[in-house]
Amino acid sequence: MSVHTPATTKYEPAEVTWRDAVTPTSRASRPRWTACYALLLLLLVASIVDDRFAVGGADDERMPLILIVAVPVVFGMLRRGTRRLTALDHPDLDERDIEARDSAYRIAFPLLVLVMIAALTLLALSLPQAVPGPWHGWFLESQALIGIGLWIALWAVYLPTGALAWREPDALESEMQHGGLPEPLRDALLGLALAGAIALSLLAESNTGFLPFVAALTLLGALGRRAAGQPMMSRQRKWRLAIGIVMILVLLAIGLAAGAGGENGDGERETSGKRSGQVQPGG
Amino acid sequence: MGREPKHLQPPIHNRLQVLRAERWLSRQQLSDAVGVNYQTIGYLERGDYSPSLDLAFRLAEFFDLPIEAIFARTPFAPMSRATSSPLPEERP
Repeated sequence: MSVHTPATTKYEPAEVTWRDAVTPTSRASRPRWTACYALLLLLLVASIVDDRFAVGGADDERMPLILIVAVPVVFGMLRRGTRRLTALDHPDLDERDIEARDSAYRIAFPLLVLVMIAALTLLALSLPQAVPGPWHGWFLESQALIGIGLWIALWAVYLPTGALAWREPDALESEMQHGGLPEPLRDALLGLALAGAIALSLLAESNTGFLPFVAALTLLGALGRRAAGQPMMSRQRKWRLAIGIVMILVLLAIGLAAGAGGENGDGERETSGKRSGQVQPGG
Repeated sequence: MGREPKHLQPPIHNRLQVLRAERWLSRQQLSDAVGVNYQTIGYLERGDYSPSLDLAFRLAEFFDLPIEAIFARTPFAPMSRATSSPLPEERP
């Protein structure tokens, strides 16, 4: 069979987004983000069981926001970098894809067993004392229990994708051209922004540290769009951004007003006894 | 004795890229014709993946060639060498 038609079909994404710009498509880049995600999960569990890795006051220790933001972002990068092959209900897998996916699950299973052993050890160390319940029996009341349970679930979801990302060969050249920056430079920039954001959050004990990471993602997205010959931001996206900023400002204003009102109210309650004897202005 | 691990098995060489180029086919067109992802065609051409017997037959049927004309255990000789007359030092 001979077919004489010009080769015109080429992979061209309709619109380059920041997700396209940060998708690791090479075999060199994917292992970096696989290791980075594993590190993020370790920091996540550290923030659950150890107050030094949490942010907030002594009586209100919370998981740093940067971890909550970075975990889905990096996982999404790996998923896109492996063409979501580990999705069990993927409709378009061919024989090679199925073989790669099955192999990834085979590797992930023993690793998950190791994670379970680590999680059980952590649980044994961080279990609180059981307290008698309101009706019958004894109960464990601890956020660490829920946190470690979620941590195991995150590993279970991640490990097949991580194994696949580590082993998959490079994508075709045509899919490796819309990143804007060269991949090593992009990885270095994003990695530095992420490390800086985590360090800033932990040192300052505040959630403002996640801003460098979000700024780096936005910058890479804009550069990727420009490299693809598209405007750095579409009109629709500008409107969405503007509406988002207005909503954030309004929420901040409401929050500040409510906070100020609450402080005044508390102050009034505390000093009401003292004020009772004061003369009201104009009285 | 179990089956040899895949990474230890000798590679299977192929002429897919040449055959595709001489028919002016894109990877997408070839992948649509044989029912695989176009990335898989790229992996086959680069030698990152060895096809199943079923896929090898589908490719052979598509190109209307015997399987051994497309896939081989040893590297294929360049086309220029296969079609031109032997070099002087190679002549008996």
